Amino acid sequence: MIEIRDLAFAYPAGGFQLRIPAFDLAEGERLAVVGPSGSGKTTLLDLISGIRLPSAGSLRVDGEEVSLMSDAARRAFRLRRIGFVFQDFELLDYLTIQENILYPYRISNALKLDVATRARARALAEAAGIGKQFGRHPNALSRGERQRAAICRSLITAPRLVLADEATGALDPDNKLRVLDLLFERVAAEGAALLAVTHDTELLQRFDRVVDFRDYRIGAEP
Amino acid sequence: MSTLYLAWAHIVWHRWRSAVLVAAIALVLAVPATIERLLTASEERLAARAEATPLLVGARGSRLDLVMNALYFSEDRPDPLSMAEVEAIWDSGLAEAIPLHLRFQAEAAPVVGTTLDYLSFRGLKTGEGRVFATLGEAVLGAGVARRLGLGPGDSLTSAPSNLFDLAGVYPLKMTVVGVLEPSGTQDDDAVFVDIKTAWVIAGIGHGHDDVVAEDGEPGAAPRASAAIRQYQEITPENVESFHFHGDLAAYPVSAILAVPPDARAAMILRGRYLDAELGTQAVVPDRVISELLGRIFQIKRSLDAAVGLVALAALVGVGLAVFLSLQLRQREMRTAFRLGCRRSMIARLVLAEIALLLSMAGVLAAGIVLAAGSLADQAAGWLIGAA
Repeated sequence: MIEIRDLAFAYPAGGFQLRIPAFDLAEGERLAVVGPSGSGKTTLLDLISGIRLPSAGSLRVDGEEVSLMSDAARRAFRLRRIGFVFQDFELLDYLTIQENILYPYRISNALKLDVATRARARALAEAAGIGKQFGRHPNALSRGERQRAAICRSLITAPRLVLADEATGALDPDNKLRVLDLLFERVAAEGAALLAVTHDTELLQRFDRVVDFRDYRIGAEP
Repeated sequence: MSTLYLAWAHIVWHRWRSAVLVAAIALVLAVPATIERLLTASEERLAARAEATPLLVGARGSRLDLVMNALYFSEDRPDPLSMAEVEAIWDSGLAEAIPLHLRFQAEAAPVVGTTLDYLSFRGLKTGEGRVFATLGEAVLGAGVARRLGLGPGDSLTSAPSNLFDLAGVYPLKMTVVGVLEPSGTQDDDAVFVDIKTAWVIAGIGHGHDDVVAEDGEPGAAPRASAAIRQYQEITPENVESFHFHGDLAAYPVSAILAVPPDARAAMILRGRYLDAELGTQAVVPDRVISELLGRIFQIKRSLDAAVGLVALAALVGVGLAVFLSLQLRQREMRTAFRLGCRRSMIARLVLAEIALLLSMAGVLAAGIVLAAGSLADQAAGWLIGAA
C-alpha cells in the first residue's frame, strides 16, 4: 500500500530534515508510528497524503508515485483513496452528524452524492453505534461519539488507506479502547490499511506492527 | 450546489449573528434609498400642487407660510385679509377669486372654508353624497372619511382653537353631506365647508334663540341676556336664525386662489400687488416651492455625504465581522484542504456565504424601501406638514 525508498524532506525554512531509507505498509496492515513530538510523524502523514512533496526519493501509495501527480490529481487521490482521522475530530459544528460524515462529498464536485452514499453513511453510523445521533449536531455528542463520527467520515469514500493522527489522544481511557476497536473493526471491514500516529504506548500491542520514528529525523520539526 | 448548501447551513447555525449582519447591511442599503424615495415623493407632491396653482394672494409677510398654509393646509398662520380683496379681484375681471379660510381643525383634519369654485378648480368630485349647500354642511376628503369611518349623514365637530378662550370659539357640530373621491393630494386629508360655515366656527356668525321683548309686544326693544341659548349645531329648524353682523366684505380670509384666464391677466394682476406699501401680496406658488426645494436639496446633498460616511463605516464593520468569521474558520478550512478540497472551493464557500448574506440583506432592504414606498404619500404629507 505504501512504499518509501530513500525519501528526503526538508522544510523551506531549513532546520528540520527527514530521511527515510525504506518504509512499507502492506494492504490491510495496521501499523502504528511512534516517536517523540517533533520527530516527523505528522510530516510523514502529510507526505503520504500529498499535502507536502518530498525533495528526493520515491513515495508510492496504492501503486502511484505521489510526487509525480499534479496538484489536482493529488487532491482527488486524497479525497478518494485516503481517509483521515484527527485528534480533535475536526467535525463542523454547523452540520449534523449525517452531513459531517458526508462532508467529503460536499467539498468536491468529483464525488457524486447519491442515495446509495446516504445509505452508506447511515450504515457506517449504525455500525459505529451513533445511528441515533445521525441527525444531531456534534455539540450534542460525547467526545467518544464525535470521534466515532469522524471515523465514519474517514471511511465514507471507501478509501484504501486510513491515516489516523493521534486519533485517541483526546479521549478518556475507556473511550480510547472503544474507539480504537471501532477503528480496527471498520478499517478491516472496508479492507483498508491503517497507519496510526500515536503517543499512547498502551495501545501499541493491538497493532500488527510498530515503527519508531525517532531514527528518521534530523534536526527539529517546526 | 454544495457550496451554497454549506454556506446556508453555516448561516442557519449562526442565525443570530447572521441576522445582525443582514440587518446591518439591509439598513445601510435601505436608509439612503428610503430617504431618496420619500424626498422624491415629497418633491413631486409639493411641485405638482404648486404648478397647478397659478397665483395666490395673501397678506404681506412670509411667502412660504402663505403658500404652505393655502396649498398644503399647514399650521402656519399668515395674517388674514378681508373678503373685500376677493370682491376686488372678481371686479377687476383679471381672475376668478377663490377665498380660503384656514384656521380650524376637526378631528385633527384642517377645516377649509371656501366656495364650490375650489372643488371645481382642483377637480375634486364627490364619491359619495353631494357637495355642501348650506351652513353647517361639510364634505370630507377621502382620507379623512376613511380614517374617521364617516360618510354622508354622519356628523363631526370642529375642535375649539383654544380650550381656555372662554369668549372665543365654540365647537360646531357639522353634518357630513359628501365624501370626495381620492385625489392623492392634501385635499384627501381636509374637511371642506362653505366659508360662511368657517365664519360660524370662528364665532363671527352665529345663531341663537329669538331675542324679543319679555312681554313679546311688537316694536318693543329686544333684550339680550346670557340666558339666550346659542346654537352649536346648524339644523333645518335653526338655520334661519344664523346671521352675520356687520359688513361681510370685512370678514377674514386666509388667502385667495386667483385663477387668471391667461398669462397677460396674471401679469397685470401681479403688477397690482407689487407696491410694498400694500398690505397684500400676490405670489406664484411654483416659484416659492422651487426655492424651498432648492434649499431642501442643498441640505439633502450634505445629508447624502453624511449617510455615505455612515454607510462606509457600517460596511467596514460588516467587512471586519466577515474577516473575523473567516479567521475563526481557519481550522475548518485547513481540515477541508487536508481532506482534498480545492483552495478555490474554500474561496467559493466563503463567497457563497457572503453572497447569501448580501442577497438576504438586499431582499430585506427592498422590502423596507417598498414598505416605505407604500407609506411615501403619508410620509410626504407629514414632511410637507412639518416643512
